[in-house]
Parts: sequence; C-alpha cells; structure tokens
Amino acid sequence: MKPNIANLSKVFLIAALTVAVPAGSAWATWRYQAERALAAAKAAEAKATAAGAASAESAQLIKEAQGLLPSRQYTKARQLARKAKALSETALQNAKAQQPAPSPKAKAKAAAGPAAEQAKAAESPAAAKAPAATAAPSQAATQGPAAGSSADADKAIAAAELARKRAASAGGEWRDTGSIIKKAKAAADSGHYADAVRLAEQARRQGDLGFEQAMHQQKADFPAYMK
Amino acid sequence: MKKTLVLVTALGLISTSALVCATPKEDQERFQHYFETRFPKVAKNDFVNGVYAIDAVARENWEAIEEFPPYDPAISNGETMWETPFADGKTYKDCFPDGPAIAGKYPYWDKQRSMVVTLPLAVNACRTTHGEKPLKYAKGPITDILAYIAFKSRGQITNVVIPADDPKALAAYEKGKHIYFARRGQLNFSCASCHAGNSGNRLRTEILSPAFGQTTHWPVYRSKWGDMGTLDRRFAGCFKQVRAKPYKAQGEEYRDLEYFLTYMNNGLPLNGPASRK
Amino acid sequence: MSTSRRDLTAIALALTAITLGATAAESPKGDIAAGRAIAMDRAQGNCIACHVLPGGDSPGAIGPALVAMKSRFPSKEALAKQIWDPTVRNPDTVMPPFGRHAILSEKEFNDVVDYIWSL
Repeated sequence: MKPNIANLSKVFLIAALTVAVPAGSAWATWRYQAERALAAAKAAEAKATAAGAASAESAQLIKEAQGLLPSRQYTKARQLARKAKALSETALQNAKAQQPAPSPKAKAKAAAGPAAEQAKAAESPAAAKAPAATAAPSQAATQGPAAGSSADADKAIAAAELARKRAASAGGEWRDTGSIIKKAKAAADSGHYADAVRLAEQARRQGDLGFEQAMHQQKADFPAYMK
Repeated sequence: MKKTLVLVTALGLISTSALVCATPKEDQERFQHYFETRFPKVAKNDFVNGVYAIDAVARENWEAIEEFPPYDPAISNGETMWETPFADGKTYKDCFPDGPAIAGKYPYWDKQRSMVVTLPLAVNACRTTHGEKPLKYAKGPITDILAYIAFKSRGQITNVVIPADDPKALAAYEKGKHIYFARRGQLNFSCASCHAGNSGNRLRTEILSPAFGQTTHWPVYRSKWGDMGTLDRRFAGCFKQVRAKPYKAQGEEYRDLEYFLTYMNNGLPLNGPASRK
Repeated sequence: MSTSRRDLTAIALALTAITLGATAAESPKGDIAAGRAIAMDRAQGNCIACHVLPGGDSPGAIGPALVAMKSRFPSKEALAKQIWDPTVRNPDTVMPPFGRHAILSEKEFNDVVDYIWSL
C-alpha cells in the first residue's frame, strides 16, 4: 500500500474500529448488570456485618450506587457496587485473619459444643453438660474462617427475622422466608454456622424484597387494560 | 374572555374528575364490562360456572361429573349439622332465623363492630355463642354446613351493599380492592394478573378462570384437593402458588378481599356448592 | 483512492470476529442442558408454564413461544435483562422477575439465559 493520506486514514480507521467496537460493548452497562453487582455488594456487606466487620464506606458506596439507578448511570453504579463488594470482602478477610486457626481437636469440640449447649443432642443431659461447659468459652476463638461463628449465625438470623417481620407488617411477606429462617436455625443448632449465615442472608434478602414490593404496590388499582 | 374562562374551567373540572377515585359502582361496571367484552359468547349468568362457561371440552367433563355431584355428601352432612342441637339445646336456626337459605346476605358490613362479616365467620360466631368449638376455616366440617346453606340458597342474587353512611365500609372495600390488584409474592403476581388479564389463557395445562363469577359457588369440591374447600382455602392456595405467605383465614385482609370481590360480582345468581377441577 | 474489495472484506470480517468475541466474553458461559432442566421444572424456572418450548410437555400459552430468540433480542445481554426483570420493559407484565427476586441462583440464571438464547 502506498503511504498516502487515503491509505493512512484507512489504516487509522481500521485500528480505531478494532479498539472501539469491543470497547463499546465493554463500557456499555445494562441495568441488570448494575443490579446484579449491587446484590453481590449487599450480600458481601451483610457477610462482613455478620462477622462484625461492617464498613461504613462500603455501606455509603452501596447507597450511592443505588441512588444512581434511577438516572440510568449503570456503569458508575456497577463500578461503585464492585468497589463496595471488594471493601466488604477485604474487611471480612481481615476480621477472619485475626482469629487463630483451629486445631482439629478444637474444631471437633466446637462442632459438638453448640449441639450440646442447645440440649438437642441424643446424649444424656449429664454427659452433654460437661463438654458444653468447656467448649463454650473457647468457641469464638476456635471457630475457623470457614465455619463462621455461633455469634455470626445468631446475628444473621436475628437480622433475617427482623426483615421478615418488616415485610409482614407491610402485608408483603413471601411464602418461604419463615421456613428458610427455620432451616438457618437448625443449621446453627447443629454447628453449621456458615450454612446458617448463608440461609439467614437469603431469608433477609427475601424479607427486604417483600417489604420493597409492598411499598411499591401501595397505589395498586385497576390496570389500564381493564376498561 | 368570559367564554375562554368558562371553557378552561370546564376542562379543568373534567380532567380533575378523572383523577378523583372511582366509586365502587363505577369499579363494578368497569370490572363486569371488561369480562363481558373479553368473553362475548358467554351469557352473563353463565360466568358463575367459571372455566366451564369458556371451554367446551371442560364443560362436557364437568357436566358428566355433575350427574353424581361430589359435593352431595357434604350437603347431607351439613343438613345433619343444621338440625343437630348444640350442647345448650339451641340450633343454628336460633342464630339464623331466616336460615338455611341465608348465603345471599353475606358478606355484609357490620356497622357496630366496624368489620366485614362473612358467612363462615357468622357460623363460628353462632357456634361459640352456644358453647361449641369454632370450626377450622379452610376445610373439614365447616364445608359441610356451608355446602348445605349454599345449596339452600341457590338462585339468590349477589347483592353486597356498601353503606353510604359509614366511611369505614368504603375503606374496607378499598382495602380489599387494593389486595386484589397489588402484586405479591416472590413470583410478583396480583390476583388480576391471572384472573383478569390472563383469564381464559392456558397456564401449563389449566385454563385460568375469570374473576367475574368467582364468588358465587362456594364451598367447592375440587378434584385437585379430592376434598371440599372454602374460599379461604382457595385464597391461601393462590397466595402460596405465587410464593406469598397467606393471610390469616377469615382475618381482616381476606374478609375485606371477599367484600370487594363479591361486590364486583353483584347481580350474579348463587350456585353453590360446586365442583371444580 | 477507492478501497479494494479485498480490503473491505477484511475489515468486515475483522469487525464481525471482534464483535462476536466481545459479546461472548461479556457474560459467563452457562450450561445449556442445565438451563433446559430449570426451564421445564415447576419448582424452578418453570418457563414452560407460560411459554411454548421445543420438546416441552403441555406448555402454557401466556407468553410468546420461545423460538428464534436471536431474531427477537439484539443480544444475549438484552435477553438476560428481560429475564432478570421483565417489569422494566413492560410494567404490566405477568412474567416473574427471575433475577431481581432471586428466584434463580446466579448459576441457574446464567444457565437459563444460555439455554433460552440457544432457542
């Protein structure tokens, strides 16, 4: 090709398009992507809060991101949501890193502890009392990052129950919220704290959504198609 | 200048009157007109038969079932209940002197107690007044006594009244109306989603019945239940299907909903008990 | 100086490849077979309750048949948007917001999107 203006412009055009076209689909963000990022950010924030590592900054970012949705600034909203998520995850990691890693013995004790505590174990109450007394004080310290803690689970379950009640007070409670909380409680009772927290967060989300739904439906009336 | 002023005022009044809440009567006309237009081939009184008024094949099957109605045992049990004295010697007739053909009087607005009174509520009130245990509202013996009362009341015309002299009655009606049209549950449906806008359409294998005609035929023997059930049972079932938690049976919400829905059906003849798929 | 046929074809092919590559890279790959199972399952997506699906049993007829999806949605993202929250496009819709209301998990959602997009 001769190196004249026409040819150079062609090359430049091709190069520009080669960059712009894929970049185009990269920078255009859909609403559902922003909402998904927000949901993930909220979930991460809840996890961090349950572990006592709530970050005011991530809460603020989430609020800001949420506020951008009506004006369709989805790219910025998603960006803020991702940042919030990263902050919450880091905070959670730091919180967990401060707890010592559990020895296999301590893990087994901790697993047996709460079941005995709740006196739901099959063993006799006398036998259950002894390990519970020794396991209880060290529980918080011996629970590893993977297991979460009894306190985490209790906090998450309490938050879920609050959200469920709020939805119910607005007449918008969903069908499964209560049974998910029951499952979370059962998981906590048997020492599966991570599962308990996960289920409790799922229930809390349902409670929040049910409440929001009821609030949005306050003006419900005949639909336009009924004439 | 004066003409312009008059014109502007007139236009202003017209547009604001459109914003003012519709009256229940206007709601009812709008409601009934919608279904009559959506199903032009269905005679007004035939709406009481639900999908059997719309689908010919389903109607054939239903008519075959009606030769030996599955709700007959409920009616005979109900008759026995009506005639059997309570522990204190009184009977249902003492509570309902005009009975048993009393279904057409319900639901009504009780001014003294500021609440909607439905027939099942009244039945239990009668029982407790005479030292009997109240019955569960969704299924069981209550469906027997209701089936008997419904059978005896066949042909009565739905005529729910919203007394003009008590604003709380209108408020209850509006609450019921709101419950009907509000989206709910994880699946985000309102009652109208299926029974108005999609009435006559097929949801998997079932045809959705139109709301017009839905209050006239309770209690119902439903093949799916293999059992009798009340309107409350159906409300709870629908709520669960859209993944919403049902309200309390015969609680304020469902009674207000029944008040609104039955008012929408004013003019239709009662034809309970009925059988449904 | 006019662009030669060969140059034009090269540009067109390059752009198409890039666009396709870019769209594919945007969203996670879902499992089409898993998506199909979710679409047919009453307890999960239950798409078949309202939509005709190829090979589906007793479909409902409330929404449009799910065929020729690529001609009806400009991109998989647009389809995902619709399944995430259909009330955005039509506030009176009866289609549940499968994403916004967490009816499907993230994996289930991706699987279903890929399945429906393949129809």
